[in-house]
Amino acid sequence: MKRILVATLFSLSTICAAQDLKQIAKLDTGVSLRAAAICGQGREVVGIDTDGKLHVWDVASKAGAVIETSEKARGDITCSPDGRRASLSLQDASVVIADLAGKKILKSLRPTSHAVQGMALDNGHLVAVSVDDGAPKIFNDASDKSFELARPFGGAGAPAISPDGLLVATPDEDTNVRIYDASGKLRATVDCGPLEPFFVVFSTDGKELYVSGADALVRTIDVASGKVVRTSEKLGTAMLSMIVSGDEALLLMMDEYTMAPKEATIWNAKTNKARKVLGDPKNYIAAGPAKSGFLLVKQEDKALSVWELK
Amino acid sequence: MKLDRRDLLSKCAALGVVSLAGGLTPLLAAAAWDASEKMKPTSPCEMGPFYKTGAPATGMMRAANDRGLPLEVIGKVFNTRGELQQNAKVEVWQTDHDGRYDLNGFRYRALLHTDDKAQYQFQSVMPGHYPARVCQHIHYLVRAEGCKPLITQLYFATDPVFDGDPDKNFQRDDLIWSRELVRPVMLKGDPKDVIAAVNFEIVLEGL
Repeated sequence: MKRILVATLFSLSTICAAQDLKQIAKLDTGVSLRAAAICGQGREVVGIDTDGKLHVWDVASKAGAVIETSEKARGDITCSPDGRRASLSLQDASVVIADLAGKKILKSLRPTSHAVQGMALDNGHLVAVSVDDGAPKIFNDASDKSFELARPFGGAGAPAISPDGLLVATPDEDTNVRIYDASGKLRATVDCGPLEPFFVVFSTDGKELYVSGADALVRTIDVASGKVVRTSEKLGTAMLSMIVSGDEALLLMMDEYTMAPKEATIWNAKTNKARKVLGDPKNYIAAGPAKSGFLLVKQEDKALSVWELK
Repeated sequence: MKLDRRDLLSKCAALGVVSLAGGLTPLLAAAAWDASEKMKPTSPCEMGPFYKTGAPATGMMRAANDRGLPLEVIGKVFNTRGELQQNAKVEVWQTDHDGRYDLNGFRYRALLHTDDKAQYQFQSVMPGHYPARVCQHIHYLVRAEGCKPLITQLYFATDPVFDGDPDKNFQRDDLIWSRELVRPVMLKGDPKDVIAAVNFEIVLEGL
């Protein structure tokens, strides 16, 4: 489903007001990146260069390192919440798990022969992967077992893993969100309206699941009951990404005609209210949660600038 | 009693009206004959981000005064054994002439059911182009009992993107995975009221 969205997201610009943003670091990369992610609450930035190599930069010290992989990376990269592991999808449709502290590849997985749509890692041993035209899978590094999830028509978008590593959620193209336990057993199928959900993120305590997508709403699912307990007002246009930090979610929205980024909003889970962040378009290639607020990474000429958004 | 193909071949061979070359038995010949008649499943294609449940059950998606070339799409739904799939559900959605999906309502969205001849049809307008996609297209989600759901897209040989040569140029849109999804267009009607007509047969794989 989301190949269009992912392509847009990874080449993207977002909209933020200059006054909301504060540059906190500039990293000399020496390479151009085609994808990046923010790891460990803003401690590190990881990126895939145009040759498919994985780079890791420490934001505080600005030190960089390269982790070699056997195949070129395809373009998707994500981190565990603690920033200790990263996963990236390769051109041969495999997924490799990297140890960011040890600067080495830990494992290679092959979910299917189809292209990877999205990945999620927890702080333990789980990796959840969704693929084009196939069922998502959960891999458990500790037990070396894998579990295939339901295959709704159209497939699933990027999965999410609860902070305790016990649950996995997927936004599915049949417009439902499904919640599974870590062994792949379906716990709940939640109707999320007539349009597709694109993103699911667990709250930091794992009790709630936030869902956003084509209908420009944020739905809050109570994980225990599997029911939608809150729905935001319409926040604008269809979503391009959703990042949760504390009680807030940074939502990037698209122009529904060009599917290019249009505006950014910060939605508060406690109040169910949103505030628009307006300003000049800027080119960012990654956004992620920080210890307080969010970090955005902007690509410049063989360098990255890291910005704080509160 | 109607003979199955193997028994028919056996009987014909016994009567001398068909001869089997060395190495061929009626069983092998019947299996090969059956296999040659299997239909190739329609190629899948991405679902895209703007599917919406609850589309109205109407074959008329075009309203009076809608801009764009009127379009009529007709087709039948089969399984790979060539059996007609009556009462298959065919969901279609597309942009309007200007390349915009209706996310608030159900314009240019429909849920159709195949009739007793396994045929579906709808009236629409030729979909528009929009920046995130190269080609004009109509999304399909087709479901029938005993078959795998199919998600695909219909494309048009008249799309300017193909420069009149879809055989050579269909991959200008990297989401078109099969040339067969690009269908010929017949213009019909009178000179003041031209309609583009497209035939798009669907073949579903069994479960």
